[in-house]
Amino acid sequence: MSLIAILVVLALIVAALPPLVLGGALLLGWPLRERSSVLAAELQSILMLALGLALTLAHATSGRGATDVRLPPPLDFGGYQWVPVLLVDWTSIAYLGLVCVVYPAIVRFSTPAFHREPGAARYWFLVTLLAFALLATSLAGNLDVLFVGWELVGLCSVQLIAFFRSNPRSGENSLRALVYYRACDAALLGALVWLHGSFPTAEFLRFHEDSGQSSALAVGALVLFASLAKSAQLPMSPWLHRAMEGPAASSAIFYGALSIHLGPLLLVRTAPLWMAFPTIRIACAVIGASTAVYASLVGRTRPDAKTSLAYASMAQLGVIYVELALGWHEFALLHVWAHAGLRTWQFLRSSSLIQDFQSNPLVGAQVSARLRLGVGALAIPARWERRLHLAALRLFWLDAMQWQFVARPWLALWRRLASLEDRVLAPERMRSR
Amino acid sequence: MNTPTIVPRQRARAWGLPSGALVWALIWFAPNGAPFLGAWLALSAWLWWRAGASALPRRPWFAVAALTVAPLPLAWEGCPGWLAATCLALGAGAVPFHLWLEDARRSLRRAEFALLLVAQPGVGLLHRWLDAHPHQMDASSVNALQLLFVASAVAHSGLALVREEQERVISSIVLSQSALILAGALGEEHGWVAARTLLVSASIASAVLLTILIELRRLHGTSRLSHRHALADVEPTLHAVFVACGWAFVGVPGGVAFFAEDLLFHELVHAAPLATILFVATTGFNAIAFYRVYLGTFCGTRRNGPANFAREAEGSLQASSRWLIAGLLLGTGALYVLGFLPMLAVGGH
Repeated sequence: MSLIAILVVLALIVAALPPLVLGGALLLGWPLRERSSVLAAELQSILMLALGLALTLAHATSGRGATDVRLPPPLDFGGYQWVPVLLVDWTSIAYLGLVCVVYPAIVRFSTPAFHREPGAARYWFLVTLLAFALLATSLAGNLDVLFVGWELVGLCSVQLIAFFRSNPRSGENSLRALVYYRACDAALLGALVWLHGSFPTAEFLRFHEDSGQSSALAVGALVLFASLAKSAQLPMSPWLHRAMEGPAASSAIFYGALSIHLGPLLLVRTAPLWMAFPTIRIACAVIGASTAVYASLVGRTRPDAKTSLAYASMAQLGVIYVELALGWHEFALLHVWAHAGLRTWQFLRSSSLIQDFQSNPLVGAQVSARLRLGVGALAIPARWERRLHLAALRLFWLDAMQWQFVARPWLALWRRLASLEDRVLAPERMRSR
Repeated sequence: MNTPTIVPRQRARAWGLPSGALVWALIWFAPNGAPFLGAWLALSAWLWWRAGASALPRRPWFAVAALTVAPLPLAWEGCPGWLAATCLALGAGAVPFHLWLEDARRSLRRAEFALLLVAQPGVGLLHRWLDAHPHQMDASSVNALQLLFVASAVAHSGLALVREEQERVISSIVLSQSALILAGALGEEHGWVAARTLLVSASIASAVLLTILIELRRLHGTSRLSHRHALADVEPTLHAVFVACGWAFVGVPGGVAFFAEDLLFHELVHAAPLATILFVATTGFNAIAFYRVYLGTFCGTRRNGPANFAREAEGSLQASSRWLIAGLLLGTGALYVLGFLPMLAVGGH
């Protein structure tokens, strides 16, 4: 076993232990002291940072472009194997580095923020589980492992949006986020099943061998669609502003830094499959550019700090999608790093924004209310600017259209079937109504 | 605002569940042929007996007739493929042949209906029939039946998205999973093994989830999804078990259903690509439906005072017994242990 393999396995164990312990305690109803939960998260973050650094050094000195680590398959039946493959290359190091740098900051910020907060144990469990999921996603060497991390990130995200569970709006918004996540996760699962069914392998290192397959275009399209919800790109973006119901620290780690950038990571990882197809590259660029324009206009009309930041993130992600479509993958990863760093800081400071405007020299004291959209520099007539402002205020009716033309007819279909069932089985009750 | 509904208190029937469990064991363990047919007829008789013993006696004519008729043509050696497919769909409760299950639900006590769902007699029927007649259906009939089962799974998931009673939502998800199990069981080489793995997961998880909901109804009178139940802080243990078991049930990584679904996809993808696409969609809908139940039961703002609940709650407001909690924890733990060691559920190398 090479040094890199040992470090990778150690990192996985270190990341998996705290959520196992905290989750087990929650399930069995054994109340852990707050200090123990915090300590578990702190240890996890410090050890992950140390192992991340060690992995970077080991990879840099190994002189190899990529090292894949194969773990024993948990499922091996009838010629089918579910093989956990982990991959250490500069892409995984870049994303893992981001996780290892941002996560300790979030833990540090959350410690006083959740002191004696009801539900703190739940928060620490979900955050430590998220750290494990992000580590698995960063180091994934095939689509199977990436899917596991991807799903767990979505699960943590949904549960943290509903963190303040006494607020009914939190629940509704988390359900909305789950709907978008599941739609795109189904696409990722579809791509995975297709890869297993028709391609020689689902490993990232061997994707360039698969790009010649006739169905690579379809798999590439599925992967592009799968990436849209996590990165809040059009048309799968309306959940993002609703996700701001969660605590500031979780918003920072999910929608400012790590979860939201998983879309670009997936696209970079699967690039050999879809880069050969101009259709997908054009679609990727169009989605990214239109999201950037949309989010930048809508973000200017939002009245609160966190939602404005969410739209700012969405806009930057749109630009990153354009960079990916152009084939600037290293530049896109650099952009991810810079953007994640800035947004983490902004989200974490969002609760203290008023104080920052008054006294923080990094923010500045000169704040004036902006009543117009502020696109005057584009030489748009004032009348049109007002109309654009109104449309942006209403999110360009995207939310309403999706509800009206997709969700409502779908639910109406099943309501009709349910009502039909009642009529068949209890006609007398239906008549008496 | 939801008006509280008056639910008549049902008398405890000591023999209902043990006798149901016996019938369940007979269906799954009786030898093929006449003993199995006898076990199936015993199920019909049990349904008839239990419906008559409920607090609001209502004879489920439709359910008993469907249940009795379903296996009879299958016993006939020369049964044509289309008739066999119809009988299997009827026995398994595939849409639109599922109405007998709904009829049974309205007649039985909640715990007894839960037992009927957990026992999955339809899967037992299909398994026995495939065992006895492995080549009776040609490939096109098998594909058509698989498509019917997966379409049925989508329909049950769709119904789960709009139902308002917690137990009905979970029942619809269980029926959806049953339909997926049936589709998988028709798979080529290792279809039954893959289906059996999902069956283990679905049975354990449905038993745990339905027991929790029945217990919550007993303790708090929760019958419909509402933001006013907010039971997470009132019943922290049941809440934790419900969340952990529910996510494992709908196929999130960590639970055995994740690997079971993966195996089933692998079985279906070549033979039935359309069914595989619908299968993938169903898993997504089921997760959304489960989360609706979670939100409507455990989240929200609790209404003040127990007055409104008192009329709905059945029996005394005693806390759940330790044995019950231990059983629920054991079931949930089993889902995760099998999720980490899926070969235990698949059944060896």
